[in-house]
This record gives sequence, structure tokens and C-alpha cells, in this order.
Amino acid sequence: MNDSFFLAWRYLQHHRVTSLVLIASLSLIIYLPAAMQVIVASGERHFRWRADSTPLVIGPRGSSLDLVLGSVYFDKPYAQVTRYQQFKRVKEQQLGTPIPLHLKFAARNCQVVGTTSDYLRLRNLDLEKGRHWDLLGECVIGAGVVDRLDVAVGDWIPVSMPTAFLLDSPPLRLQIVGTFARTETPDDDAIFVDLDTTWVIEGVGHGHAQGAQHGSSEAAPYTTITRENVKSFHFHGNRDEFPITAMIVIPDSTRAQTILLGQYFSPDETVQIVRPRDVMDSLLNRVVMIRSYLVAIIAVISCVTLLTMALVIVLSIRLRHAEIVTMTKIGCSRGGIWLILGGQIIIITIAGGFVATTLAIATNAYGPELARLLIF
Amino acid sequence: MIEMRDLDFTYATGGFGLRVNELLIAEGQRCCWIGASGSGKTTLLHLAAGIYSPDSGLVKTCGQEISAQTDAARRDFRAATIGLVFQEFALLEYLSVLENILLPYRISRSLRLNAEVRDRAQALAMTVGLADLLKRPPSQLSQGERQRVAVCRAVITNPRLVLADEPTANLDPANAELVMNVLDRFCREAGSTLVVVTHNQELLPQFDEAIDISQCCSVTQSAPTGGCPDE
Repeated sequence: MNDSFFLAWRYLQHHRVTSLVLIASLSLIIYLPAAMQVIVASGERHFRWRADSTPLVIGPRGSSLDLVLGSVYFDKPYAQVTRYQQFKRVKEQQLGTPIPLHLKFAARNCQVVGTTSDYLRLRNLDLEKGRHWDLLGECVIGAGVVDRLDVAVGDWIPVSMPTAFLLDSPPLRLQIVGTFARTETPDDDAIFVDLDTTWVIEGVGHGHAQGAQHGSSEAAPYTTITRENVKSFHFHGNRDEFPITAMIVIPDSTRAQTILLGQYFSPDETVQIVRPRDVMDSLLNRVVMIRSYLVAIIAVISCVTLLTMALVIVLSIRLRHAEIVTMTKIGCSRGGIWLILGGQIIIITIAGGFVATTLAIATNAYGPELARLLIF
Repeated sequence: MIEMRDLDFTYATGGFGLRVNELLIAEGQRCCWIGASGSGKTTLLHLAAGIYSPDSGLVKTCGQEISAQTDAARRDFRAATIGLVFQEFALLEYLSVLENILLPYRISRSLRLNAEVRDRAQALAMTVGLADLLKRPPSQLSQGERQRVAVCRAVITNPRLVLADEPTANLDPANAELVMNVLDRFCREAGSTLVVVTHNQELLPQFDEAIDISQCCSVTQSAPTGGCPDE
């Protein structure tokens, strides 16, 4: 047996390119369906968990999927806005806890999330370093932002403002005062600020005191808020009209949730209310449907690949006819010949299985991350 | 050593048949079989080795009536008792020189590979001038070196009988002489019987006996091409 495997191994070693192609093909045949299963399952778990922990979202009318992806998963800066009065409306009804979100801006490609401390409690965001914001222009960043931007507490991050040229004041730069512990959620990649800070970014609020505007260079001046100039910052207009992107609502009870859901059905409403769970269920059902198609395609490709592999093996046996005859003449039994040929198939199968298993374990370990990368 | 009587053989695919009335080779003898192409020399060699089984008649090799044995028994007997040298060397390209020499031990269940066999293989390679080439693949060897490897593979099991089918046909005269000397020396030292099928008339003086195959056997069916399937 050992000698047969030795001869099989030496043959594969000699024909290493063919052997590697066969191993790679087999690995992919085993790995692809497993990987897809792992990624989709962990993606489903990840998305459902986030959606399940977000009871209700109220936001501008339009695509409910865009609203959920933007306000729950911070898919991308969300341009559509509603008014702060919608937040007050829910609050005054005392049916639950509304959490405002302002998601219009980004800083160096990281989502800026203007919100209140209720959001941090909802998501169980724990500080790893520094402190929470207590001043306009201060921010606390997720662990992913620390890695991506290579920044730390005390550093500054300028906010990207596509409409800055329309405003009197130059773009605001945020001071990092704290970092959150890693959560493996979209919160890791976000920059959290007080809602008032996002209004300053938007130009609804501004400061007049000297020193409110500093520049890192003449070409790129920034608005900088400090303890010295913060008192000069103020807001113009009716606060109720100030923009927010959406709000998460944590209803006090099932009854409160039902009442809230019923309130926004009127066609005159400028906002919609959605249950993220329902929206994600609908999306994931489509993913499952797509997965079925993919499984069918992979099955067909796998069959074709297996047939090709079988053809390669059969052809190699035919090419080795003279060698097989020699071994038989010297004294090798028919079983021995099959053991050598079978040994090759076993080695390729074991190697292919090992590679596929290693890849599957790696995929399983990074499943949620991969799912996030693939979907967003 | 080799005894064939009243033997009839026809290939399963048809086309070539052979009848042997009587053929005797004594133990320890070094003889060559000569004859025209298609006279059945190689077929006879295969019958003597037990690679083919006759339709009828007796084949006795090294005292064993191999014509009455099963395929498996003949294979084990062949691996342990007979060394075979082929015209085309028949080396395995994916094995090194040393691994090729040791091949019978890798493929036969009746032989056991151990350190003593490895030492013997290295010593054998040294005596035929292959000591520095042991790790090389056959593709890096000359024709003469390849045939010397094939001879080493045939004699590594210390066979009682060495059957060589045109071992010098693809070699230049110098290498042909070298290979024949190696075969001759091994058989003399080990007391083995040597049977060589050859067309090379210059080699005949080296043998105790030269047997014209057409004198002791007759072709009962001729292949359309004039040669038997193995030739």
C-alpha cells in the first residue's frame, strides 16, 4: 500500500502542473458551494441580528430598502431628509424612545452619524479610549475608522462637504475625543457626533468669534470649534425645521408599536415607518432565490469540471499504457496497478479536500466580514 | 532451467500462433535466441517468463510448471525468480535512477524493500558506473546509461533467470558491449541463467549456446504484417 502511494505521489510530483490544476479544480468544486453557504448564512445572521435589534425606523418616503440600508447599516451617506419636528412628534406621543439620525455627511469616506447618546445605548457601544463627546465638533470613532484612517484620540478629521462652496463657513473638522470598542457591525466604520454638530456641518449653525475659522493651509481652511469659541456658535431658524435623515424608534410596548405603525399609513404623510426586520426579510428572500440559481450553476460547473477531471485521468492512464505493461511484466498485479492509479486519485482528493476545508474554515472565520464586503 | 514441450500458443487477438516441440535450456547456461523477424522469439521469451500462458503444452521455468499456474502465481514467481530486460529500457520517467532500480520491490507483493536492498542497489549502480546518477531522472541519461539502469532493475532481485529481449538493439557498439558485459558478469557471479534474444551476430561468441528459434518451433499463424504482436 505504502509503495503504491509512493509511486502515485512521485507521478503527481513529476506532473506537478497537471496535479495542481486537478487539486485546484477539486478544491473549488468542494469549496464554492460550502463558501456560498457559509457567507450567505453568516450574512443572513449578521443582517438579521442588526435588523432585529432595530425595532422601527422612520424616514423620508421612498425606497424602504434604501432607508433601512442607510439608517441601520450606514450603507452610504443618505441625502434625503425629513424635519426635526418628526422626532418631536414621536417624542411627545410618549409611545417610545426616538433616536434621531443625521447621515448626510462623510469624513474621509467614513459615515458621519449625527445622533444622541440613546443610539450608543441601543447599540451597546462601549468606549475603548477617551471619552464621549460633550462639545460641538467633537466625535467618537468606531474601531474600523481607527484602522482605516490610522487616527487616534486627539487627531482631527475634516468632514467632506460637497456643498461647502455654497456656505459662508469653510468645512468643519472634527476632533476625535474617544474610540469605541470593536463590534463587528457597521458602527465600527462610523464617526459619531452630536446631532448639533451635523447641523453645524450643514451650515444651519455657525460661529462668529475670532478663531472659529482656522486653516491647515490657505488652500484648505477648516472651521475648528474649541472651548474658547464654542459659545459663539449658534443656530438660525426654527429648530423644528432642522434636517434629520431618519430616526430609530424603540416602542415602549407592542401596542405602542402598532399605534406607531398605523400612524404613517396616510398618503399625506411625508415620512414612512418601516420595520427593518420585514425589509431585510424581503431582501434576504431574494438573496436565497439568487443562491438557488447560483447553486444550480455551481452544480453544473462542478459536473463539467468532474467530467473533465475524469477525462484527464482516463487519458493519463491511456498515455501510461506502456508503463502499466512494463509493471505487469515485472510482476505487478492488476490490483497493484489500480492501487497506484487509485492512489493518485486519493492523494488529489485528500489535497483538494484539505485546501477546500482550509478555505472554508477561513471563510467561516471571516464570514460576516466577507458578507459585508460583498454586499456593501 | 527452461523446459518447453508440445506447446501451442495463439494470441487472444489472433493473427499469430506458435508451436514448440521441445526447447531446453540448462541451468547456469548463457544462451542467445536468434531467428528472423516474426519467428516468435519475443513470444517465446514471454512464455518462458510466464507473461503469456500457452493454450496447451508444458512450460517449466526454474523447476516450476508455470503453464499450470494462475496469473497471480506466475506474477509472484516472475517477480522473485526472473529478471527482465527490455529493448526499449521501459524505465519510469517520474522515478530517479535509484527508484527505477528498486521498482520490482515497490510493485511486487512477494518482495520486501529494506535497507539491505537499498545498499545492494547502490552497490550495483556503482559497479555499472551509475553511482553519480542515482538521483537523476531517466530523461537526463544517455541510451547506454538507461539500459544499464534497466539491467540493474532486472538483476536487483538476484534472479535465477535473466531474460533479455534485444537489450542492445538501441545502443551503439561500445554501449552494447558494456551492457552485455554487465549482464554476463552478473550471471557468472550469481550463477544465474541468461537468455538473450538478439539480432546482433557480433554478440554470438559471448554465449555458451546460440539457438535458432526457427529450428525448434514453428509458426502456426502469421500476422498480416509478418511480425508477431510483440515484435
